[in-house]
Parts: sequence; C-alpha cells; structure tokens
Amino acid sequence: MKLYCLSGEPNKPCFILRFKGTSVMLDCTLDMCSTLNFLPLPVVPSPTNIETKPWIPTFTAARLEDEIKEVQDKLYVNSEPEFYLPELAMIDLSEIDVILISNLHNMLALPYITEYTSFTGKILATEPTVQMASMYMYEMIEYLRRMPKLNNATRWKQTKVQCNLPPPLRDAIEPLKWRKLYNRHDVQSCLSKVSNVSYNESQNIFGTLKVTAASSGFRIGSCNWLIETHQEKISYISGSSTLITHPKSLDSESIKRSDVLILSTLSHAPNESHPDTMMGEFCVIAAQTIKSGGNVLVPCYPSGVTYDLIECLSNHFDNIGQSTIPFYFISPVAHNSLSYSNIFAEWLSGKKQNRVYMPEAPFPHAKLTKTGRLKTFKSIEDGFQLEMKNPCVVFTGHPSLRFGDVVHFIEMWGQSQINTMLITVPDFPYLDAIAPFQPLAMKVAHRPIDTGVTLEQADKMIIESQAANVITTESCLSPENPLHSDVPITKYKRGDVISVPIKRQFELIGVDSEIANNIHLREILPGTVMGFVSGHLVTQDNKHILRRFPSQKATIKKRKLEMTNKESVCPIGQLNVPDFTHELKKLGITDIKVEHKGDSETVLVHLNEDDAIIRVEPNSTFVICQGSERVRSKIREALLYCLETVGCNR
Amino acid sequence: MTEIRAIPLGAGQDVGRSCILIEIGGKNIMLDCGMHMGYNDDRRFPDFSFIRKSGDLTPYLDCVIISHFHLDHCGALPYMTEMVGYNGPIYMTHPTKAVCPILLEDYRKLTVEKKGEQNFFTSEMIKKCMSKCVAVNLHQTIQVDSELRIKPYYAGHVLGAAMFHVEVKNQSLVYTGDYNMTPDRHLGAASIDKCRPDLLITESTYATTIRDSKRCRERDFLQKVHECVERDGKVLIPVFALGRAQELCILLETYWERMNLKVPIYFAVGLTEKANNYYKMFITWTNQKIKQTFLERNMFEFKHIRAFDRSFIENPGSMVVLATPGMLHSGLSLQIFKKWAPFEKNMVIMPGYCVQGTVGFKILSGQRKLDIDGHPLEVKMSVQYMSFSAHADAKGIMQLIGMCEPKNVMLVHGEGGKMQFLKAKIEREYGTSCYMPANGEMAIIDTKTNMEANISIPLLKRTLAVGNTKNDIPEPKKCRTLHAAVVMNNNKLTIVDTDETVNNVLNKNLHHIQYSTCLPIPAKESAKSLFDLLTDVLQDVVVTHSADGTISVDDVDIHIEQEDESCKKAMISWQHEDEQLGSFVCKLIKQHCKSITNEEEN
Ligand SMILES: [Zn+2]
Repeated sequence: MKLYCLSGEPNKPCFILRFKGTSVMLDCTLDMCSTLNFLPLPVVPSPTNIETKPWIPTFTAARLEDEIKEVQDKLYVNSEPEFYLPELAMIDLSEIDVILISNLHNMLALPYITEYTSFTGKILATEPTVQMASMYMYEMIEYLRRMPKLNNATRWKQTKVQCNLPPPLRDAIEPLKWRKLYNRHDVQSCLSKVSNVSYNESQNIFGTLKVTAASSGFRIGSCNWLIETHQEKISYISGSSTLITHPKSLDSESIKRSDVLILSTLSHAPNESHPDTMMGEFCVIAAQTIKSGGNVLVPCYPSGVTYDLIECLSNHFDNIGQSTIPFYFISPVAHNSLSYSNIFAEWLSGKKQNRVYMPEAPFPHAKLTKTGRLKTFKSIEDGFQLEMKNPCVVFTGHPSLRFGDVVHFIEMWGQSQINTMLITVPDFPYLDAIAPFQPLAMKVAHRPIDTGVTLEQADKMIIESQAANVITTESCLSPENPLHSDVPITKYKRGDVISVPIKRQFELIGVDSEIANNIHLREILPGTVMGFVSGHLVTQDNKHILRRFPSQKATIKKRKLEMTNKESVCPIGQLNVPDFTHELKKLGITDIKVEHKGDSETVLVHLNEDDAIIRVEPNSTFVICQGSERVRSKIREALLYCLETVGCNR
Repeated sequence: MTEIRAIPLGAGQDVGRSCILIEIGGKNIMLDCGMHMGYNDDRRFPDFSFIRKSGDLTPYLDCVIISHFHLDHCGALPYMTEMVGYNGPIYMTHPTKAVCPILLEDYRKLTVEKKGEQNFFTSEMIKKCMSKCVAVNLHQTIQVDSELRIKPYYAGHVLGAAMFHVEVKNQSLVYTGDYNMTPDRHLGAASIDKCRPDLLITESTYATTIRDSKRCRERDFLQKVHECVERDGKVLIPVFALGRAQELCILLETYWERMNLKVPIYFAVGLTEKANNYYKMFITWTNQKIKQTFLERNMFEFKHIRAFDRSFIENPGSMVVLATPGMLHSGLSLQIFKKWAPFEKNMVIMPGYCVQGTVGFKILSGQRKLDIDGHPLEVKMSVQYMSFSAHADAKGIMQLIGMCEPKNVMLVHGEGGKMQFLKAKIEREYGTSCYMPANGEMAIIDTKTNMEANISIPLLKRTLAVGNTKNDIPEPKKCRTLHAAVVMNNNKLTIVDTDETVNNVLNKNLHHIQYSTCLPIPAKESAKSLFDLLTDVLQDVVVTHSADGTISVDDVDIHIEQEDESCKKAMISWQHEDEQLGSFVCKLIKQHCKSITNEEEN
C-alpha cells in the first residue's frame, strides 16, 4: 500500500491511496488560511473603518501599490481572496478510480478536481455531506460575488518579490499555486457527479476493494472510511467526535481489527478547552453582553456547530429569562441550512431521531423560527435593517473574517465596547483574523469549540483498532503532544509518499460444493487435520473459484474420448527400488535391469522389453516410456503401491 | 445447509396478513407480521403456533423484518411481541417506525372502542412493541449477528417502504414487501442491485395486469370527479391516512387550481397534519422532484383541501371527500358511504385494492344489495375502481427479476390463479424455478453454493501464472489446474501448497513423479497443427505455444522432436497429480495421429 500525501495540514486532509491496483483519493480539502493574507472585503462599496496605506517597496521597481496595502503596520493583498489547494500535481489525476469524501469540510476543493483536471472516476459521499458542502460552496461564491471588482494581484507572488516582503507575506506558502474560488456552474456540475452512500453501505470498487462509510459523529453525515479486501483493512479516520452532539454518534466498532490506521484530523484545541466548557462560557459571555445592552456577533459557518450554538444559547437565554432576545442568522444559505437539518433524521443522534417519531422537528431552531425568535436573512440587505432590534445575537459568515456579512458587523459594532465578538470556529488563528480590524473597541472572546478527537481519544482509538501501522500528520504531534500507544507511527507532511507493507497470507476463494464435499480431512497428527484438493481454478472479476474438472469429451473422427474425474493420492518419502522391481514383476514385467549411477543416489531402472526407463531419485521419480499406456499404467500402479501416500483412501 | 425453506403464515396465494417464515443457513427469519383486515376472528393474525405450540418465540427466531407500515404487513406485530411473546430484534426503516404506531393505534381504537372487541392489544403494548424495533437506513448493511446480514432497498409503494436483501454466509434472498416499479407523484420507483439472490420472494398483487400509462389513469380519475361534482354529486374516496391519500391530494390540488374549481375538497383523516408532517420530515424518501422543490414550496401544504367535519355529511351540494379507512370496512368512510350510497348522482371511487370480506371488496365485485351490520343497503351511487395502488404490475415484477437476477422466485401476496399465470411466464422467460406455496405450505428451495475458503497467496499467484503471456494479468475465464493441500485454520478451510505443508506437518518430503511418453507422429504434423487441435478440443483449458516449440496444456508439456526426415516424435510430460489431463492429452494425440495415418492409407 502506498499513500501520497497531497496536503500536510492536519485538518485539511487530501491523500491518494494506491492499493491492490486501485487508486483512491481520500478527501480534498481547501486550505482557507491563505485568505488571511487578503484585505477584508466590504459588503457594500462604502468607506470603511480600516485605514489602508499603499505600500511602496524599496527593493524592487515592481509596482505593488495597487496590490499591497498596509494596515496597522501589517501588509495585506488587495485582491479577491485566494485558496491553497492540495498538491494535485503529485500524480496523474486521470488514474484515480474513486474519491471518498468524509465530511462537508473535506469536500470543498472537489470542484477544482472534477472541473479542471482529467479526473473521471467515481465520487462517494453521504447525502447530507453533499447537501451541506454545496451550501458552504454557494455561500462563499455568493460572498465573493457581492463585493466590488478588484484588481488581480499577481506581481507580489513572484518569488524574487515575495522573498523580500516583510512577514507574514514573505512566509506565505507557494502563493503562485493559490487559486480563485470556483463558480456556481462548477459547483453544480461537480455535485452532479457525486454518488450518495449510506452509513455501512459497502461499495465495491472493481471487485478488488470494498469501501464503507462509518459514522464519525462529527457533522451531519460525516464518516470515516474503511477500505477493505477480504483479508486486509485500512481505516481512514477523518473528522471524528466522541462527544454526543447532534450528529449520529461515532461508530468506533467499525475501525476495529485494522491493518493500517490513517489518522488525518485531530482537535486543534488545547487540552483545557473542552467543548462543553467552551460552550458554557460562550453562553455566559453572550448573556453578559446582552444584559449590559450590547450586541453579540458570532462569526460562523452555515451549519455544523452553529446548530449547537443556537440550541445551547436559546436554552441558556430561556433559563435566565432572556427569551425575547432575537437571534439573526445571516447567510445566503441560512434558510436552506435550517430546513435541511430538519429532514436528515436518519443521520442524527438517537435523541434527535426520537423527536421525529412524535413527529416533531429534530432541532429546536424549527420552533425558534416558527415563533419568530430566530430569523434568517440572505444578507444584511435582505430586509434585515428594518427588522433588527437591539440587543441581539447575530450569527453570520465567513469565519475567516475576510468576506461575508461579518465584515459589515465588525465595522458597525467594532467601535463600541459594549458589543462582543465571540469566536468559536477553531480553523483560523484568531489574532491574525482580527488583525486588520484593530484597534477594536468591541470585546473579542476566543472560545474555540472543536468537537474533534483529542490526542487522548486518538490514543484510545489506536489501541482499539489493533492497527499494526498508524499514519498521522507530523504537525499533530510534538514532544509535548505525543501519542502514547506503542504502535509504530509514520508521520507525513505535504508531498510525502509513504509505503506501508501489508503482510497478507491468504486470499478468499469459493470452492464448488461438490469439491468441498469431497475433501476428506483426516487427523494426521493430533490436532492437525489435513486433506487434499484438486480442481480448476477460475478467476473472474477478481474473484477466485475452485471448480470441479469439467469432464472433457472429444470426438475425433467418430471415436469418443472421455476424461474422467478420479481422485488422486499424494506420494511422499523415498522409493525402495527392490520393493518396486518386485512389484513390477508381480504385474508381469520381467525384463528389469537396475543400474546405480556412480556413487550418487540416483538409480536407473531399465525395462528394455517394454521400452521404458525409470529414473529414481530420493525425492522424485521420472518415468519415460514409448507410448504404451499399458506399460505406463503398470509402472504407475507399482509406484503408488510402494510409496507411502497421504490423501484419500485407496 | 444447502436449502432455503419458506412457509407463508399469511400471503400464501392470498392478499393480506403478510407473514413468511424463512429458514436460511440455519437462521430463522420472519418477513413481515401483518394482519388480515377481512377477518374479525383468529384468522386476523398469522398462526404463530407454526413456530412454537405456545410460549415465547424469542429462541426460535433470529430476527423479524417489516417491509412497510401497511397493516397487512405490520398489524400483528404488537400481538406477536406482547401477547405471544418475542424480544428479539425487529428491523424497519425510519419512516415505518414513525408511522407504524399511529396506524396501529388507529386500528386498535376502531376495533376495541367502536366494535367493543376484547382480547386485542393495548396502547401500552404498541409502545412496548415499538421499543423493540430497530430503525435502519436504505442501503445500510446491518449485521444482525456474525453470520446474518440484511440490507434495505427503496421500494416506492408508500413512504419508507423497503425491500430487504438477507444474507447468511453464502446464501441470500430478497423479500420485496409491496413495491412499485414506476415513480408516482410523491415517491420514486423501486430499485435494487444485481445481487443475484438464491431466492426472490416477490409480491404479485397485480400478477396478470399490465396497467396503462399512469397519466391516462390520472386524467380519467380527474375527469370522473369533475363530471360528478358538475352534476351536483358527492364524491367519496376511501383512503388510508398515509400514502395514496397524499398523492391524490397533490393531484386534486393542482387540478382544482388549474381549472379554478370552487367545489370543496375535504380530507377526513384524523391525522392530516401529522401525516403531512411525516412527509415533510422524511422528504428524503419521496421522489426527486419533491426533494428538489421542498425549500421553495412544501408539496404537502394544501390550499384547496380542508378538514372535514362529520356534520358536513348531510350538507347539500357537491363535494369531494377523502376519508379513512380505504377498504370501507369500518369508520368514517363507511359511515359516509352508507349515507351517500342510495343516490345515483353520487360516486365512490375506490383507489386501491380491497381484501375479501370488506364492503369495498363486495361493491367492487358487483354486489349492489348489501347487508351492513344487519341493515340492508342498496347501492345506487356510481362505483368506480381506479387502481392507484402502488404495486408492481406483471411488467414491473418481470423488470425487478431482471434487475436482481435471482436463481429462484417465490410468489406471495396475490391470488392463486393469477400467480399461476405469472409463474409460467417467469419460468418461460427467465428459466428460473418459481414457487407459490399456499399458507402453511413449505417451499424448499435448493441452493448450490460455493464454500468459502482461504487460499495461500503465493500458491494462488503461482497457479495463475501458468500459461501467462503478459506478466500480471491472468487470462480470464480459462481454467488452471490446482492441486493443493487443505488444512483447517481458525475454523476456516485453508488451501495451501502441498510440498510445504507435507514438509511442515509430516516432516517428510513429497515424492514427485513425472511421466513422459514419447509418441511417433506423422511427418506432416507440426507443433502448430497439434496446438490447433488441442485448443479446439480443450476449450476451457489454457493452451499455449511458446517460441521454442513447446506446447503447454495447463501443466502438461509437449515437445516436438524431429529425429530425421521421416520420423517425428511428440514427447508429452506431466506430473503425477496431472495424471487425468496428461493421459487424456496422450490419448487425444494418439488417436488424432491414427486417424490421419488411416486417411492417408485410404
Ligand atoms: Zn402495502
């Protein structure tokens, strides 16, 4: 098995697995941290609070003042944000047979592959993953579509320019490979190529591999993938959660008895920030802000933990008598996201599922919407201004704080210290994210909620999986953060190709019932049963079957020939030549001459009258005769009589 | 265990009370657990004494599978689990698990509260029973135990209806429940993989019908309704709360809107809103079109259709009423029917199948003088039958057989006579055996299965390499002889190399014997002509011809030796294990040469 690591970022996995002649791409995530190098995009073309100065380089004559702006002593690219793709040039993408998607986050680079490369294979993902990912894609496209047209900044990327820029732009990785976002048409076409799978629905890839999605408890429809042959099992662990939130819980049984465990995603959050603690503090901080008359801004994605935030916060507000505080969910896909979440009952936790049997909507946000406490808007221009009541809680995107309505809210509320921005999405270094908006008067609270598995839980998973090999990202682990299990761990980084030998002894074979019934197993030694089998091996679609010999029949010039199925025995040990000649004599062969070949153990037995020679060696006998079947069958009979045999009864 | 045994406790040459017992690979499975709505006595429920004379059934069944929420498929479940006794697993889809208890409760109320019957299951029993049900997703493989696996497929028919693929070791069967092979207004068409089960158990409600296009039937239906309300008549459409009712509502709603009709349409179903809620929440189980448009408009929120009140029965003027239950066997639909039946201008449209014994069945079979609970009733209203019932017709059943390619077919859930016709058709067109056991009759289906074994990979590779021209890719479909030893490894048959195993196990060496036979051949024969002969005769054996003139017939080698101008010889060699093929090739060449010499002499 070979694993090509197209991405090194721990939580942005993209691999190609070559196994049994099949190429499988595991996830294709978009790295959005590159967007932090860009200036935030205003929602409406209006003067902003962000004070930018053009930046004039001293080391080059290249004109960069349009491309690079200085804000608070930091440099930003003045262009449409761009994204860092996995290393797609590592292999010829037309060779990929199937792409397996684990969750909505890990699908965001898919349109680049389906629409702009030679890939023509199959794509497998669960239905909620596809629906939710499409919302994430459309949301970003819409956010970027709304902004005023910008210059295309390319000059700063030239290596000799970039290396002279001050950090962090100098340290930006491979900006020449950054790409603009795909468009609506790309997304539509891409999604039409995805096939849906259910949890535990095994799919056959060319008869060689069986791939199965197992619930991973991380997002609605998220999964880990099991890649199996009859004998081997590779478990690919992507975003997983052992917590019980809204998605169907982690299927930890499925990864047991794996040969190789690929562990691609681990929680970003430091040990002390348990998601429950963070969620609790999130609610308390929000409540305090509201109490003092301020507004709460929650930058978020359009689904996932956002549902939990809404649920927990509304419950908390109920408990402290703040049930009248309005929640606004502003995103081009806010309404769709809430609607979809309520029709995926099969993919939700048992508790949520049971509500559907009532029948009640599984998420409380259905009721909150009905009672008007939670309102959705496509954007701030979608009637929001008229509706808005202070104080309120606003959930909006994008969590990178570089585009989307969130930029507008930071500008609108940023200058007042009674407001609070609550950052819960752990995907972006939050100080970098808010840097271009500084100085901010509003409070910024960082309470990252990462429900993914922690190192401690990963250790447990490794032990439970009984894996002989573990492959995990280099940057997940550090001396302070080791995995404790004593399984050999291979670390990967972007561009690595890892070979893992999988020792395998056996392949599965179907044995025709007639043959199977004729196998006589005998206890040849205490505790050891053994028998023999003969048949025709047929291989079709990578499946092997042992069939009975077809009885061969041939007619040549009206004479019929027939091949019969006879049982054979297995001779072992050495041939005693005197016994053998004695036996031949009994069968009527009289002209026998025994010749010893020098001092070797070889003996020649000449049957001159019958035109045959038998050459006897310690472990073998060669019979050469001149066409007489009568003679040959006598020799055969004598041989089998004299040699010790194992196998079927004679 | 090379047979599958099947006994229908219900639905054997009959419609209603679906319940089929299966024994497959040593496992006992119950497929559906329905009630017969045409009976009010013991015959209402399947006769579970077939499984055990009395007492708890749990030790005798490995699992129960419910195909969909119609009561003729799940109505006996609380009786079985709570009154007879069963604590094992019961599998059904999520929508079935959601809807099933509602229909059970409805039926219970009707039976116990209206008819005053005793000895029926209680609400508490329904609850307890449902807590034993495990909800499953489409296409999800459920490992019931280490050997038994089940997998549901989409069946159309009603919300959440599923067909089940059941696998035990190497034996498998598919049970369809009720299904529909053409998509309708709210559901998609049934579909299944080419899973080649040993047995397909299919419903055959419409075994002899090839139904006309769905569009025509819909137009016909709307026309009839329209004509009736035009002439001031009242239209009664008896339905079940979930399923067909929603489809007819969509149909009427769009027609009313298009024709701008004002005549009221009522929906006389206690659980209208609830029912439609289920459709909203399980929208992923409906058809593509409804799924795609659900964000903009919910197809299950109707503008023209209002709730019905009992007092409307006596209202003058025309109206359309959809009322439960669907077979006119009791409840509101029967009550309305009794009031409207004596008037010619009214109409009743039966949109589905009715089981024997129900009022619906009687009027559909032409009876016009009825006796309902001791009261005579003359039916003067127009009686129409519109088959909207989403079952596969004969064409659909044949289509499904083609889709999954079963080795045997068994027909259930249909009428004996019609089954006979379909059975003949299946046997003729697909050449598979077809069974149609009556209730209580056992069908024994012989299955030939391959046994699963492990084979050592080096041995496999070596064997497949025989006669290979290209390196890795074994020539498909050709057979290669395999001789090997067999040992037991972790309770599994394991095929291993003979030499190695004899060495390891017995500490002795194998004694190889090679036979070589030298045959004189006519001078004009060549390696090429022998090769042609052998390839022609031994069609499934790998015969190759290498550059040095050697012909290989699987493991048998043939060298052609030319001693002088007039004398050619073929040297045929093989190992002891290949005796059969070796001696066969010998005889073949000998005879071939003889026949050529004879020809020359003649
Ligand atoms: Zn049905």
